[in-house]
Amino acid sequence: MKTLWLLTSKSIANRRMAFTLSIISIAISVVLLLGIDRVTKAAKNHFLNTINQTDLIAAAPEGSLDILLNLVFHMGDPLKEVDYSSYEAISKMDEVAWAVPISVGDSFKSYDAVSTTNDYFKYYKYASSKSLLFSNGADFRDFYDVVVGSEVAKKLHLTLHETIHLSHSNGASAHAHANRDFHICGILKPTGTPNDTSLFFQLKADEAIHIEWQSGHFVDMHISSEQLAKMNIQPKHISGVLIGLKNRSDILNVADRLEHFKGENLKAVIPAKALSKLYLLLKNMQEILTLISGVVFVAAIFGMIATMLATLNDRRREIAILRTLGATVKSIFILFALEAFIIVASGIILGNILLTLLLILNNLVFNTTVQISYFPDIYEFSLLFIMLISAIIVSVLPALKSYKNSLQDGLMVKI
Amino acid sequence: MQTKNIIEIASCVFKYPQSQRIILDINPFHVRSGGHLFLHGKSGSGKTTFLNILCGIIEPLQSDIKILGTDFSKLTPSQKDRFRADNYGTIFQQFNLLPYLSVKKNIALACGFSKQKALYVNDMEEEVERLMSALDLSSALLNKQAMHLSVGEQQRVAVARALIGAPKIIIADEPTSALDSDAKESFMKLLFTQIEAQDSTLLFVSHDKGLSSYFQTDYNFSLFNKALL
Amino acid sequence: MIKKLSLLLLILLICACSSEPSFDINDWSKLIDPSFNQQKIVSFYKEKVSHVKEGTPAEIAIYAQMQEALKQGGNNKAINGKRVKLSGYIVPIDIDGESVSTFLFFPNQASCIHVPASPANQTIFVTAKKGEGVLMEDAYENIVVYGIIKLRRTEVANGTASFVIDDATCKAVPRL
Repeated sequence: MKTLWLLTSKSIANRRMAFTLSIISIAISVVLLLGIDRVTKAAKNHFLNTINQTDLIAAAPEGSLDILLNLVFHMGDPLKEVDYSSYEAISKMDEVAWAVPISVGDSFKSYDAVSTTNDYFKYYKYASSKSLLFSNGADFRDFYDVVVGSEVAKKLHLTLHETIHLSHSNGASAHAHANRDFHICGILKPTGTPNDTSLFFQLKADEAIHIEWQSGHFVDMHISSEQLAKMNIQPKHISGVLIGLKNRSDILNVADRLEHFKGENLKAVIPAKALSKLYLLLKNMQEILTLISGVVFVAAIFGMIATMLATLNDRRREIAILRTLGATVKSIFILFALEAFIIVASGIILGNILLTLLLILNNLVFNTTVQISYFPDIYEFSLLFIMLISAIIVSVLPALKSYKNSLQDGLMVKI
Repeated sequence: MQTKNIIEIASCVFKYPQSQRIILDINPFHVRSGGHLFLHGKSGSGKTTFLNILCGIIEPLQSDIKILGTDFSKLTPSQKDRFRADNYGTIFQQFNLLPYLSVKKNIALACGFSKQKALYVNDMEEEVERLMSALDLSSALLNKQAMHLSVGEQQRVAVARALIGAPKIIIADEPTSALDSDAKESFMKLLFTQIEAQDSTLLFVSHDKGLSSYFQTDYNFSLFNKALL
Repeated sequence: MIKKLSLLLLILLICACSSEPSFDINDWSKLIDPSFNQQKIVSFYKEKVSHVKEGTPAEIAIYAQMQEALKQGGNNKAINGKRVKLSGYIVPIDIDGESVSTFLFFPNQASCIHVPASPANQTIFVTAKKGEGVLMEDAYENIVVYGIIKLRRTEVANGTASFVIDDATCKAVPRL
């Protein structure tokens, strides 16, 4: 056996030009198969663990996924606005235990700025009922207080009591509310949710600083920040309301009442229900992509077999010599199986290295709280194992051809 | 022991599966232990096919052959493979060596396929060097890749590989045909010295009648093969 | 020989069947109080309305009460504490890891899409045993729930009791 390993590795090294392309194509299919699995796993995990224990979300009548993605994940176009009075009416409902108004739309550098009340930090839960905790400082006390997520604080090197300025809306055309100083009152502990890449300020401050922005243009009203704080401007519009009920089996009834609201047209979303829709979408997409990657792998294996068959003639003398020295039929098949094994194993190792490098690059370049693993898990290892086994099985083809050749050639290859 | 028959052929008939023509139909003959047999014949007389059968690489249509006391005809193909590995050393006209392996590894390869040969050798490195020097090969060539050697050097390395592990039977099929006349002479001298030192039986096939002076026994292969008549 | 084999087969079959937890109720209609009669309720409230002036807020209130009675009433109290095995569809409420741990359970799919949902007597609030919830990928499939059904009073003002199952075991019905 040791002899066969030696012969195979030296033989491959002798034909390495031909096999380099095979190894690369297998590496690419590994990057695809494992990469897709890892990214969708991470996405599923991220989505499922972001919000918990919120029974309903009320917002303007839009798609339930749009509402979820916008209010909870801060993704997509801003929603139509909801009247603040609807929030007040909701919080007065018998069945409601708590209600938190939130408004999404502003930004700070490339991070999302969310305006809300202290109730957000009290009632928002994620993963298995984890609460938002502060690593430094606490929630809102003063008018211009700001709470920042852990990633924001880390990447921008922000500390408690530091002064920052907010932009008007998301995107490159953002204009800073440069005239209004906000102060950091608290930094959140890492959560692995979009809260890490967000900052939070008070709803009333949000409304107040926007009186200077009429139809998207700045109108200098010469009001000092202290005056603004004392003006007691009431919030008028919000993006949505997070709701917790006293009795969770009332969910559908309350949702029904919200959608037949007297004041305004509302839509009530059950977060878990919307998440299951999202999950199904992700799963379908994952299945299609995995199928495609599987096809890429099959193509790579065929390429390898083609190379093995093409170099068979080069190896006729080799095999004849080995046969003369007493190599059995079994040994010939093992030689080819070892060859296939070494090629695919090299491709797998190369592919894993490439994938890890790509993921590290991704983490460095993009702002994201989504954790993608750098190493394969059991499912991925089993995929790799299947790849190795199928390579060994298909190596039977060139082995058979080579054996037939050797019977013809006997002791000497007549060329 | 010296007068024992190492190879006893009672009959051997061969034809290719697709054709009807009988290629080989051997007259009964035997080879004594320690004998040096020279078989000469024109190309196409079936000498190489005969050797293939004796080595067990090709199956004859019918045969009754005993080698080293074993009923060779009754062995299965994989048994024949093992028999060949343990008891034969072979040298052909050219392309004897794996070009990408070193000289040392090429010689040792014979023991890689035969436990019997491997057990015979105490120290592989030492034995390889011994054989190399006996065959007039410089020890500087030890780790050189076989493809970098001259034809004459390659042929002598092939002899070393055939001899290592002291197999009982050495088979040579036109081993000098690619060498020039000077190289031929030194090759034959070196070969015979080692054959005698190991007391192996030699079966030497060639179309070059001039080599028969080295042998006690020589046969015209066409006389052996009834099928040629 | 054949008799022995068929006896063995029978025993194996019984063992296979009894690997399922035993249950008393497998029919959604059993959740409805047999004395619950929609007609009676309608005529009761119609009678009430006849005593009130047309177009007044009092009339509207009485119709609202009638709606509520129709929607909330009719829970069969007799099945409280019984083992059930029911087949239906879910609306997820809580997710634990990659499965739904808390959900609302209905006899048919339509209830899950439209609001308002089924009447209260055909709605069960289910909390699954840890690890026995509905897998996320099965959230839209036909689910079978095993557990003990109870009637529990809610904390809300009108105080009607609704069906709950705690510590349920859930299985998705395999699609053929």
